[in-house]
Amino acid sequence: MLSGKQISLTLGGRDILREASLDLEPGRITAILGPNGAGKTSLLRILSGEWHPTRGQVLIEDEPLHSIPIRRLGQVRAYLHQESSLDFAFSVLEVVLLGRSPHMRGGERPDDYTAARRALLQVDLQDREGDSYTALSGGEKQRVHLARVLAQLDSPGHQEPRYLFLDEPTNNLDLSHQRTVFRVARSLARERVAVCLVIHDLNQAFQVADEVLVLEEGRIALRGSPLAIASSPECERIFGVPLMRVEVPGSSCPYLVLRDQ
Amino acid sequence: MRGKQRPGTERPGGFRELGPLLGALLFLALLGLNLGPMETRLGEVLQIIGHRLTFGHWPGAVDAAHLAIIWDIRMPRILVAMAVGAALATAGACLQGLFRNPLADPGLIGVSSGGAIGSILAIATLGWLPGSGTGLLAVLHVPFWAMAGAMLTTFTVYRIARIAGKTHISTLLLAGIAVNALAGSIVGAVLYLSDNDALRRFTFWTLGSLHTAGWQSFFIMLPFIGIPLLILPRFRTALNAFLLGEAEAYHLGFNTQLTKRVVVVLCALMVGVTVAFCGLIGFVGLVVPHLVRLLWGPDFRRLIPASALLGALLVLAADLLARTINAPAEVPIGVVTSLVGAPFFLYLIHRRKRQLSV
Repeated sequence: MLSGKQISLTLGGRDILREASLDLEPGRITAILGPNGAGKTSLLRILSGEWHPTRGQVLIEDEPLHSIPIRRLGQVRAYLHQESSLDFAFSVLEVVLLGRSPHMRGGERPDDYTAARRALLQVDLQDREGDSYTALSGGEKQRVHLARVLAQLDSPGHQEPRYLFLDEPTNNLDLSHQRTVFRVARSLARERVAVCLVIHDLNQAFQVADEVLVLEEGRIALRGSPLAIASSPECERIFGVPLMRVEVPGSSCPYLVLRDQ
Repeated sequence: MRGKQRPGTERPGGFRELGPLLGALLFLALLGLNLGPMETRLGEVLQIIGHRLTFGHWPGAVDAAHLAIIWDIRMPRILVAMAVGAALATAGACLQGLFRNPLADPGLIGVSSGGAIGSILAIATLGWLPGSGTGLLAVLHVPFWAMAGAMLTTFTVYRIARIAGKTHISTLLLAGIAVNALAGSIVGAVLYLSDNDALRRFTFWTLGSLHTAGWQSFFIMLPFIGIPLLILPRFRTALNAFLLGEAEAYHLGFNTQLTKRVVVVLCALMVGVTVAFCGLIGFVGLVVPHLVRLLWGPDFRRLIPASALLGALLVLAADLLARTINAPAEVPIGVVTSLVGAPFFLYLIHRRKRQLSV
């Protein structure tokens, strides 16, 4: 389990995060929602170890995150940034193989190629492994990076807890590939990966997540099951819009739409 | 398709492409030993090399004058040219990785100029600084300040050009322009204050020249180039990850702070010592890694050794050209590399125009 304890972050005199505490459990998908500037990405960066909090700490299996060797951390934790850019003409497969870096000593082994190809298959790019990365479209590049983090966490047989952070993973993606992302997240959760994602679309969050957190000005204002969050009157206040819950025939998932004023 | 047959069958760490480069380098070195105002034969050259390498136990006598010219003049110059080329090209490749930008060149982003500021101030103040007058300290005085200047500029430019975790090419190049202008004015001021003899020396130096290269400068340069060349390949996978971004490299399990510091320091050592002894030799760090990437892709496991060899090859070739094209007079080697490099740079900008936000 990865736990954030009383995490606060102050940048340039501004409080970005205020005493946020949360647990990420293997096998569960946690979605972080909130208005722009609520501190979602900052929270993700701190939980993943990329940033240090001003106060509070992050523990992995009760061990302080920053006391774990960086390489070891790279074997069990992966992070997909909102936007990753790469100006060099690597092939698609080579980019995905970069995800195997924390597992490699010396060079790639057949296992690494297998993991990379398995990841490409999951994001629907199995036919593009030889293409140059720089020639891809925005959505394809995003999927290559998703494949890269999948390859990074690929460890068949080893059921140790792993953590995946996704910052707006559906950006740039068409509907069918948005669904791919959620399917991938769910299948990872089944393999004892704790998935934590930042997302803008409330309904997508309700669909994919086991638990939803809503951030408001750096504080965790709401947390609970998708159903509980969707039913909370607080949502309207936090997002500043009138919302209405509707029933979708054949789906148990709550669905929120904007209400006319 | 470029990558189709590559993955799986061939390890990117393989050194197959280095063979031809090594062969060409050897050929060019032998050619260089034969070229010059005094005519020599290949057999004689080989005999002199054998003679020196066996400490005089090689059968057959050698001519003393030829020995002096081949072993004491041409040989160190060839070795210095190769060392300088390897240093500049490797530094260029590594800095491009660190800055995540294929256009970063030690000359363009101000690293060489920082070295130039350091060394020209050191040259100008040599003599009236305490303890700088004699012995080894005096010899190391200029290279030391050149390396310090190069290091300082690299860190400064890196800090300036990084905005929210990304290096902006426009800021990077602007910072380079500023440092280059500063170096230009400092060099100008020193030139203004110099006498005729110093003026000529400085001018040659700012244009880049290997004509002072001897065994002494080679042996002083050797550790500052050789050690970085041995250490930098250890960071090849980290540099690959750096191409994705510093945060991404961290998440992929690399110690980014350590990588950054070590790479900057080692590149500054190499560029600084080069500048101190041979002046400003432009565009090698830009052109060579580019050619290597075109031929064998951007993977640092190939890029570092191949850049070192190709850099050595190209600077050696440029120096041979510089000292034979107008023999017995010499064209400054910086003029040759810039004549080739600058149009190549323009071509690259043209090709990347759409992606650049300058």
